[in-house]
Amino acid sequence: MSGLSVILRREIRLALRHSTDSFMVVGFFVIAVVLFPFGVGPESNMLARIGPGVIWVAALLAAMLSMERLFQTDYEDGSLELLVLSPVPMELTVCAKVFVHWLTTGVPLILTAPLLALMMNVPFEAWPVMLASLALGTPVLSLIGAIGAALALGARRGGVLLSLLVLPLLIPVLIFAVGAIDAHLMGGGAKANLLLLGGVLLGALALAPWASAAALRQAVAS
Amino acid sequence: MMNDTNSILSMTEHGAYVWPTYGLAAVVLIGLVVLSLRALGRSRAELERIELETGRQRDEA
Amino acid sequence: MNILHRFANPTRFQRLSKKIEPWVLVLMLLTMGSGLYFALFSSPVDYQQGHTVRIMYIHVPAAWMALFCYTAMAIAAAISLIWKHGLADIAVKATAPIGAAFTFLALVTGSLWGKPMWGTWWVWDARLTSVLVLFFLYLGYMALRDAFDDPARGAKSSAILVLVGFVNVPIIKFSVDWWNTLHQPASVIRMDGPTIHVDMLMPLLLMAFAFKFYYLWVMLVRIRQELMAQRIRALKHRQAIE
Repeated sequence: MSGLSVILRREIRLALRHSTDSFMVVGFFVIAVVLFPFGVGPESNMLARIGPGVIWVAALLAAMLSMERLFQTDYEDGSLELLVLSPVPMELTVCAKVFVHWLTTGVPLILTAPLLALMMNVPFEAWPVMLASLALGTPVLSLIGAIGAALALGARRGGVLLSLLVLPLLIPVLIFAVGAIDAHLMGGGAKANLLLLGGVLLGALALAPWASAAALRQAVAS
Repeated sequence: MMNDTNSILSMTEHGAYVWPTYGLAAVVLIGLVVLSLRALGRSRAELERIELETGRQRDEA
Repeated sequence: MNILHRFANPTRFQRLSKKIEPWVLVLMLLTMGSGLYFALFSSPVDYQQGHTVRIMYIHVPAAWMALFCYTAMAIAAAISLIWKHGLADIAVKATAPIGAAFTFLALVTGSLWGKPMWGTWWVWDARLTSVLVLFFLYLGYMALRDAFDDPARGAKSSAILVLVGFVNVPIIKFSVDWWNTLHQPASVIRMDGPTIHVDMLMPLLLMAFAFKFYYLWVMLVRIRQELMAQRIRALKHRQAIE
């Protein structure tokens, strides 16, 4: 496992070097959510009703923002070829990159979510379920986003293309996550939705690195 | 069976939904055929032109 | 699997497809013609829906084709990736627009049928929504396919996308069904046999076959076109080198 820890450390150092990205992602997250009261009107129980959905959609879009650069820098300076040829299997390297991406985008989103829940007047008892759904859901955003990033590597207008490819695949995550919060608010147990979300996470954890590695190999090969 | 034909033509309020359906189906399906055939024609013409050219190049060489 | 490899060679495929294309075209015109005749003229009026039931003869076969084409694309993409089968990859590219056209047709005719039946053009019903997502998967494929300067790169990348999308189609279907459903359950493919009247089943199946022949025929045309385009690129490339 030493090879993997070397790559992990490299990724973390790279992420720390330009840590401003996380602030940009959080900034977009906050602004996107804050826009809604202006659009929909400040009336509080309306905001409370659409709050969870708005927060989750904004988190989804915020995660997409920083996805394009996941492999871009390594692709351009050629270190992606070294990574593909390195003894550490590509799948693990992708896991390391996805984990670091989750640390730099998923975790900040989770940390700022309560502040936005406050602003969107989401009732307090829904907060734990919301944070649980974000904790389970944001890794899936990074995992499936990584597939999109690998597929669209080197494509013209990669950022837009990435979102067009990945967002349809993330709809189940959105449905189960917001479903969990709404189910909790309406009294029914949120357990079923959260378990399903956990299932999607495990599925993504199993399949996504494999698919991304395949996409990266043929990106480097051609 | 035949009495249905005059009722089909005089489809009262529902006709407004049935005819666009068949019209749209025709437009979409025939449109795709026309596009595909035209692309085929263009590629065939282009192919003949290039094969002629490469043929001539080889003759000159 | 050697039948697979026998057709990998383009010239053999060209000869074969030239032979069967006219037959497929004749079959398509026959089934489409008779299907339309039965659908429009000699099938009974539904006691509840009146003539709007005739929309079903386009909507349901188109929805079937939307899923059929995506499944065909997934199989061909898998073959093209695993065995580096150039022709299977061209089949995926040829199928995409046809599948997208059928999905678009299923969506619009679905809403045309929804207006008189449910009173609105679009309703966030589970079946319509998952077909809408399928439509985005088609668009995503076609966008990714042409997003690269090097066509080989676009082909491999989009083939992987089709497989990733295919794994997700059941999950999307399930999650959207869970989310909201208004659509009536399947009434043709059921354990206890179709529940709709045989007079209505006849045009439905005829149209389903007509759409399948249509798909086969247009796909063959598009495959031949793509083979020619590849040959043109190769010749131009060689020309540039000389």
